[in-house]
Amino acid sequence: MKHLLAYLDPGAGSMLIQSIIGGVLGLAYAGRKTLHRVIGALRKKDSTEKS
Amino acid sequence: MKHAASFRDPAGFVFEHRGRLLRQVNAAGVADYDSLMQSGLYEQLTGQHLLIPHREVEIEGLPPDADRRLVIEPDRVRTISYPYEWGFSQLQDAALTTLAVQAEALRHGLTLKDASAYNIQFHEGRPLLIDTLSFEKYTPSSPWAAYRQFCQHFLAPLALMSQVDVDLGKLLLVHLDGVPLPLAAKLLPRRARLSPGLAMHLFLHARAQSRTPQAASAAGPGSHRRLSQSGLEGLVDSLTRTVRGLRWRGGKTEWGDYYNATNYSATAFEHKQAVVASFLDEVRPQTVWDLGANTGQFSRLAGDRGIHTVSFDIDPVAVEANYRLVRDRREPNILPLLLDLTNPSPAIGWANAERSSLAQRGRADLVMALALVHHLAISNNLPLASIAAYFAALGRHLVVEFIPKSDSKVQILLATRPDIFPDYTMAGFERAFAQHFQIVKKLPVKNSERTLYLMENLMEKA
Repeated sequence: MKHLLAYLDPGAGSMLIQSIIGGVLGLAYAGRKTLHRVIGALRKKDSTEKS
Repeated sequence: MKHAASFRDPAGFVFEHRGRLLRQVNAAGVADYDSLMQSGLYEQLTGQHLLIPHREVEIEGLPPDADRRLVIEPDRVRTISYPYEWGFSQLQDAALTTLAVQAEALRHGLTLKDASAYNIQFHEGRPLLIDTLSFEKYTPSSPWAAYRQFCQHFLAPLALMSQVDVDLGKLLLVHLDGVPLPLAAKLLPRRARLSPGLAMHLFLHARAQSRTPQAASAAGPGSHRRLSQSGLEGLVDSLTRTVRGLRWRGGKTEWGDYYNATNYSATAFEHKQAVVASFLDEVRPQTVWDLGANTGQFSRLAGDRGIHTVSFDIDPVAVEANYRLVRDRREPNILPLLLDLTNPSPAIGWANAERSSLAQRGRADLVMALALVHHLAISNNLPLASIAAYFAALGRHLVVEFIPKSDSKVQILLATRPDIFPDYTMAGFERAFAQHFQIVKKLPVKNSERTLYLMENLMEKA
C-alpha cells in the first residue's frame, strides 16, 4: 500500500484505532443500511396492498 | 506568486498571477486529478455545492516549471475565513461537509488525503471544499490517513464547544493543526465518555495516540493496518452521526436580547434602516463589512441588495443566530463571523503568513459601524482618532453612528466609572474622523439622539 502523496502524517495511533473499531463500525453500518432497506420495502409493500 | 499557505502538498499549489487565483497541478498530482474529473465525482460534488467548481486554463507568462502539468482556475471565494472565526453550527456544517465529500468520494473509488478545516470555505452562504487536489485514489484495505486530522480540526473543538464552553473554539487559533486529542480528553467532562462516538473517536483515539510508539511508524505509517471499505464507510458514518449529535445549548449573553431590550422606538429603528439603505444605494459597494453586526439586521439591508456582506460580532450567540438565518433562508450574500474588534484575528502559521489577519483580508468597499463606537471609546478606552485610523485601514467608505453621552445606552456604560472622556462629543468625534475620512452625509436619527454619518476614506481621493 503506497501513500506517495500522503504528505500528511496520519499518526500511527490513529491508524491502529481504525483497524480496531473499523470492523464493528462496518458491521453496524451495513446492518443499519439493510434494516432501512427492509423497512423501506415493507412500507412500499404495505401501501401497495392497501391501495 | 505562490500563496503563503500552499506549500505542503506535492500534488500542486495555489498561486496568484496578474490578479487571478490559480492552482497548479504537478506531475505528482495529475493521475489523481484525472480520476476526480473522469470518475464522475467532480460533477457529483459540484452539483451538490460540496466542491468549488473550476476551469482548466492556459496561462501566458508563467516562469518555467518542470513539475507543472496543468493549471486550473477555481471560482473565487469572496471572503476567506478561518475555523476560529466560525460559530458552532458553522464549524459543525463544515465538518459534515468534509464527511459528505469523503462518503461521496468513496462511492467513486477516491478518498480525501486530508481533512483540514482550512480546506473548507463558506461560498454563497454554504460550506464547501476548496482544495480540488485533496483527492487520491482509494487503495482497498487502507485506513483513512485523514482521520486524525478530522478529529483534531473538527470533532475535538466541536465537542469542547458543546460540552464545556463555546469559547473553546478559539483553541484553534493556538493549535494550527487542530486541538490535540489528549488535551481535549482532559478538558471534557466525564459524562462525555457516555457518547459512544466520542468514546471511540476522541477518548480511545487519544489513548491510542499517546500509547503508540513512534518506532512503529518506521515501517511506513500504518502500513500494516487494515480497514475494509465497509469499515471505512462505517467509520465515516459514525463520525457523521457523532458530529450531528453534538448540540450547543447557547445561553443568553448580554447581546442575544439586544433588539428587544434596546431603547429604540419603532420610528427610530425604521428611520435608521432607511438612512443606512440610502447610504448603501448611494455608494453601491461590492463588499460590506458590518462590524458589531449582532444578528445581522443591518447586514441584510446590504445582503438583500445582492452585496457580499460579512457580518462580524463578538458574541457567539449572535453569530450563531445570524448563521441559522442564513442557512434557513438560503441567503447567499451574508457571512457571519466571530470577531473581537479590540483583538482581531492575527496573522498566524509559518512565518506568521499562512493565515491572514483581519485587515489583510480587506479593505472592504464599505464598513458599517453602527452602535459600536461608544463601546470602543468608552468601555475600551480607545481614543477616537485611533478608532478612525483602524476603520480607515478596513474600508474605503464608512457608515458610522455617533451616540452621545446623553443617550441611555452610553449612560449605562458610564454608570460604573468616572467620566474621563472629555473629547467624546460630536465635535470631538468629527474632528477625530476628519483625519482619515471626508464626511459626505450627516443625518440625525428621528426620535433619538443618535447621528448617522456616511464618510469616504481620504485615501480614495488621493
